[in-house]
Amino acid sequence: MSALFCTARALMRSTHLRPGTRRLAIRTLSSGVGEPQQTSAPPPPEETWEDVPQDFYDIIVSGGGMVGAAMALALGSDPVLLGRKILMLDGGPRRVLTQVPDSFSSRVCSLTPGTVQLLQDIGAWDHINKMRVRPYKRMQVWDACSDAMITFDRDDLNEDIAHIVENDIILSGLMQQLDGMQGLVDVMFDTKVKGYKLPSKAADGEESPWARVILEDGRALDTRLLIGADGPKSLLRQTANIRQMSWSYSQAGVVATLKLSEPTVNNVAWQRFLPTGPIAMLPLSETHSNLVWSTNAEDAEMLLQMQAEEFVEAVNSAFWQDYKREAAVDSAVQTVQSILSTISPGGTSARQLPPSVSDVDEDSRAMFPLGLGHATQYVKHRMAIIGDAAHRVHPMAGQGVNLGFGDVSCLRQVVSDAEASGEDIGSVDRLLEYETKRQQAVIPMMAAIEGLHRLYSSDNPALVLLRSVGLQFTNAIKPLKNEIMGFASK
Amino acid sequence: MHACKLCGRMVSVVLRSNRASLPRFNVVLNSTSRKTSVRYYNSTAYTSSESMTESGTKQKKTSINPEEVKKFNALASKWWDTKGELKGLHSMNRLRVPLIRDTLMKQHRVSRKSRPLEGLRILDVGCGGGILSVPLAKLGAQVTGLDASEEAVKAATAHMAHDPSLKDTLTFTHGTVEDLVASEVRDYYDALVASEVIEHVDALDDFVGSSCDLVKPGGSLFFTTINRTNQSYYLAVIAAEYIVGVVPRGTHNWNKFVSPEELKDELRANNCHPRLIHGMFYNPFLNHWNWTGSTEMNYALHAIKDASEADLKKD
Repeated sequence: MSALFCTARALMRSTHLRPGTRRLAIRTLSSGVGEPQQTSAPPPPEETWEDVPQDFYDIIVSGGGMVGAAMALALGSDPVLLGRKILMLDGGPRRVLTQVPDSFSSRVCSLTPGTVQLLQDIGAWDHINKMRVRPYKRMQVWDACSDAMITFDRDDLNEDIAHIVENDIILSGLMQQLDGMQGLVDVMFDTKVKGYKLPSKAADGEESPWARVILEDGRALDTRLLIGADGPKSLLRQTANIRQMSWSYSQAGVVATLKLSEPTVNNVAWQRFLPTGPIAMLPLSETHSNLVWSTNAEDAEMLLQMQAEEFVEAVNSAFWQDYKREAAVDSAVQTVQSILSTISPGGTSARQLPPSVSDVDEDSRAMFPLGLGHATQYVKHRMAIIGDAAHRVHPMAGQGVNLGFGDVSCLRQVVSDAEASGEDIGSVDRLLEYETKRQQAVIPMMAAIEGLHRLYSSDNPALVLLRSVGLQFTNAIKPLKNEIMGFASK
Repeated sequence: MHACKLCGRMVSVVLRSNRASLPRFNVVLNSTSRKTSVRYYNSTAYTSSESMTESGTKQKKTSINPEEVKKFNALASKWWDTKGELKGLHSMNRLRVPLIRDTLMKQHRVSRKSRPLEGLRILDVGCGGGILSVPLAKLGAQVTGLDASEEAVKAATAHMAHDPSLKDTLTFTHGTVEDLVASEVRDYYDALVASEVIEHVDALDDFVGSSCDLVKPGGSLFFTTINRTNQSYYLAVIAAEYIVGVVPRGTHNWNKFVSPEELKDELRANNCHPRLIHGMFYNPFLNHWNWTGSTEMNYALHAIKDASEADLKKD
């Protein structure tokens, strides 16, 4: 467990050091502060920030993915920010599904109740729900190297614990709601960003006091607050010289849409920890499920190249096959099991097996690299980063996008409070509240996921024994499980 | 040791000789008594580029030249350095802006959350660099910032020059409340704010009188200041200025601190009725202000001017 503590410490931003801000743009002051921005004379060789024609927005969200679109929507629907000019821009095309396709997309997310609440608040959930969502009531997680397992559910299967929704559908729902916000939120697609310029905090009149987005087509946009939702390789984060702690796992995630052998109620999510990495099956409908299999890079390549039948067999055996066991571990696990069943006879449920797979959808197989990333700072003067730009986690706990949506909720609240008090919404003093609150939520989650990743990446018998017994005990202690579910449901 | 002429307490010689204060109003004192009238040193009420229309609104023609801009911008950064000497005033906004906003919203029955003070005219007396004026203008009000220090007014103007949303709603003026009254401004403002000002004023009665004149009948007055108590001497003067150093030395003269009773009396004498008084407390280590039950140190006061029969007839 020391892995957990080391990781947590390393992920903590250095709170005391603020690297000296650099002048990213030196501009000379044109004569006459307060004069109109367009001058009749030709601009002098060194352009002045007043003379360059620019559009001004109060807030610009750079990045129109799920998290960026949710951010723009959340800001646009806040009554305190009514009348503020908000812009969302994205380098890619607008992606809206005119109708729900028959086949399922293999990129899906598990949305926590906290996320669903946010989507309801911003008016996107109705659109999403009308398209296609799959709530599920239970999650079973078990080990390949032992018989230990844990199940999460609420109120004896009477309540949903989360929803599986395809990414395309989430994005579509957000876009549909954005369409209805003409005049409140401007949207620019196919708008590539060439670069950003950020001001140093002491605006002494020689450089622009605003954050600036420079587009490929030469236009410049000034703003009070620039929010970066531009993904793990965030250009805004790099421009701001924010150090990032990151490493890539030598693992890749393989996704696919699976057809089940026979229709089933399919309201359970399954995850098994193999020595090579966790394999998860997430319900999509009564006949189909989504696969997320994190394994080492070579195996991932092989899985993609395989024929469909081979692939299906590999998936089935990954879930059903018995792996090599250590006798010592097995006997220890059995002993603990008997102890627990004496103490709480009804407390531990029996282990179930996931449905078997008969086919995989054509063209649904894909893989993506896995890694961890955490920015040491989330905010600077006039900028903030949200979503994957700030933090990136292993998909095993289904938390990645939910952390991003958590950022959206928090940043919207902070900006709204600042605006309601007449403050400068780009001022780093207030933005730091967002950073602190989110780091308090993100860092423990990242540390826990990283800890689990390391714990379950080995088949060292001692470690297997430790994690198996630990899992069994956790499974038996209902209040502890409820705590964990609460932690993972924000 | 002798008896203080104002409150009768026995005070030591040290207090009496502590006259240093920021020249917010350059005054020539006749005596230490607050009741004596004073002559104001500032001869020019306005800068040369301003003109005054009959209704009392000001029209500014900017004629700042670039070399001067740099100098005023340097000053601007002193006012607007939120972690600098004046950080206490910046953090005080967390209390005073919501107080003014919520009180005016309730008074004028405003329910919208965006730009709630739209349509209201507010005078910020002793605005300095505009630390309080800017947030009020951002909330939609038509704000006039008034200060007797020309440098402060220039610094404030320079600072807000780059923000396009403030161009029409915020103006800064060099002068005093007496100047405005002298130029026939009466019953004009929906609210007057004098925050951290009256403890620097010598003739409180004149100041309050002029302030009340400027406010519309039924309008609001907001004051924040420091009470004159033993506690405030030790904490607000000695500790704040000399020990912890969160206030520039010589800023405050304890003799000029105003007790809530004095202020309330002055207001009532001018047909203004105190409605709310609340203590404020500053934590210098965290640079954080709190509302508190005790008015022994800092306090905020809200009063409403009578909508009297005579005034109503005038309209």
